[in-house]
Amino acid sequence: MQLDQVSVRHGGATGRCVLDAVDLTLAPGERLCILGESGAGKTTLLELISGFRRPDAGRVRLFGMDPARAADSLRSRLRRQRMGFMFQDYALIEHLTAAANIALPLRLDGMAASAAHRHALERLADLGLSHLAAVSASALSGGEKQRVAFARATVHTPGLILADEPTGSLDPATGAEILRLILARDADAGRSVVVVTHNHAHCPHFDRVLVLRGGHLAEAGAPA
Amino acid sequence: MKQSRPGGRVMLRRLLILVLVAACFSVVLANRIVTSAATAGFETRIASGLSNEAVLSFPLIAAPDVSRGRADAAHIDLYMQRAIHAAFADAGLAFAPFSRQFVRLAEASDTGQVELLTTEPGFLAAWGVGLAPDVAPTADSCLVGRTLAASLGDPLPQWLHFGDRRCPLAGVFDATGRAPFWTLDRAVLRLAPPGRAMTGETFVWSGFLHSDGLSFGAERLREGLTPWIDPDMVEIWSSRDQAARAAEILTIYRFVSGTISGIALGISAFAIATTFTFSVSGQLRDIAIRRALGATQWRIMIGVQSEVAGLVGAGLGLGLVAGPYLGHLLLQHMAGAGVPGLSSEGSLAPQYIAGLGLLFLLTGLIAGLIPAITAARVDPAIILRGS
Repeated sequence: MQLDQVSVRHGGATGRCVLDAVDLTLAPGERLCILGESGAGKTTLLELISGFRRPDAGRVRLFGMDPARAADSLRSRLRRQRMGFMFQDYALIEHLTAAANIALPLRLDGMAASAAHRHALERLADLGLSHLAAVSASALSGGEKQRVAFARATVHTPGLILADEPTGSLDPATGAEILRLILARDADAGRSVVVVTHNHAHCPHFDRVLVLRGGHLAEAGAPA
Repeated sequence: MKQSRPGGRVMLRRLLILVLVAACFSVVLANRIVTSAATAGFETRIASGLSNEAVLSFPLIAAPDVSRGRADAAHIDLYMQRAIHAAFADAGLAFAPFSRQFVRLAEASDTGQVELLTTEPGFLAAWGVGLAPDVAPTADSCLVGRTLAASLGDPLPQWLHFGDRRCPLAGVFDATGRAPFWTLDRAVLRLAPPGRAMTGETFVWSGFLHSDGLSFGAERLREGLTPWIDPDMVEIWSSRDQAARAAEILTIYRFVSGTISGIALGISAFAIATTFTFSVSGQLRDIAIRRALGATQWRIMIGVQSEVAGLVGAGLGLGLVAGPYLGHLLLQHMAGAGVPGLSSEGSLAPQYIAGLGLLFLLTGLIAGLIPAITAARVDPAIILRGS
């Protein structure tokens, strides 16, 4: 992943500059933490990387393509096959079961329902969550929801996980457990991770930490 | 893929759509059944318009020889055939009576239908018709034929009732074997004042005129029949007149039918568009999640449209069951209310049902485009932004 001189303004050319000439490169398997206060541009940066938003200036390269300038079908396929998402509010579909939520990326990618369900069950078993398979997402606790969200983000073995404040709604112990899952170097050793957070306590677990302040990369480098 | 399970209000609205589509479809089908029953006769008339047929109708007073009472029903038919033959001898015209005025004796329902003819009191004496008992009939009294009298019982009733009218029964006439009364054994002769014989509006004779390949306008027919029938009193509808009139009525029927169908379609389309737009607005988060996870805009649109198609399809299925039932119920009700011109059976062609169903489905899908496009344009970033 590479961002070259990427700038974003809210409210048009004369609007507030949210990201200003940001350069960023992410190597395969690298685990990156983006720190910043509210309004610093963290979420906007995630939107750019995921292709939800086009930069006003500069260029984004992801898996060999510019997601912001690709057709919707290509951009969607990139998200289905190469990226996994985790959100602060979990973003589970409440009326679906945990297994159905996990199977969703596979189903969207055209896998048959039975095969997708089997994969989802296997992923739940890997995480020790088999007992949640048939439970509706609305009945899960916060920690369970985020574990299911992690299973959904990784069920299709993506090359990149984007996580937006994944521990923001959890107690410290559960948050630490979720972070450990995200950053674990297991079978998916080549998987890159970008986590956006304002919690400095997480920094030591990452390969690299960036700090966004006022749309600028105010600090970059290895954590202290 | 199914978009998501909607909430209670959305489910209620979708149920309403289902009922609405079913109701609209069944109304259109029922309307088609009634229309087909109502137009079947007209379509036959239009088709027969090419056979140079005419309908001729006249009150008996218009035919001077008949109104003098010198004829019974069969004689009048013969009279008309002779008149047609004399007027259009070379044209091959034939006259076929199709309507005679019959009344039912209210006091003696088991007597069946009888012919009611009116004649002058002096006419019977002039012809030497015997009366029993030997009475002097007065104006407005009635005489009955011998066979009819036997069915009225012994002694004979004092009064005969014809609908809301009644007249005193003066006696029985015996005209057996005497021309031209040989068919009047079951008739009632109502005696009228001199000069007013057979003037009642109910005494109307109607018949079809057929020809072999020649075409007659109404004016020529009227002119040709003048020596036998008062031209000012005879009504003639040529086949072309009938066809044109039938076509007019048919156009009205079809316009009304089309308007009903159009309104039903419009209501369905409006309901689908508004309900699914509402539904989409309630599912923004779920749609955004799917978009974020890689669902294409096209897939989201297909998802909404497949829901629309499923709902419309279910509605059509219900309507297909209810429509024919409703149509035949309406037909029975209309026939019971005496609506003229209805054939006994309305019909629904399979091609019509299929075409109409397709039209409903297409309308639904077009109406569903608005919410489908709205859903496809949902910004996945709202998941990140939490709004």
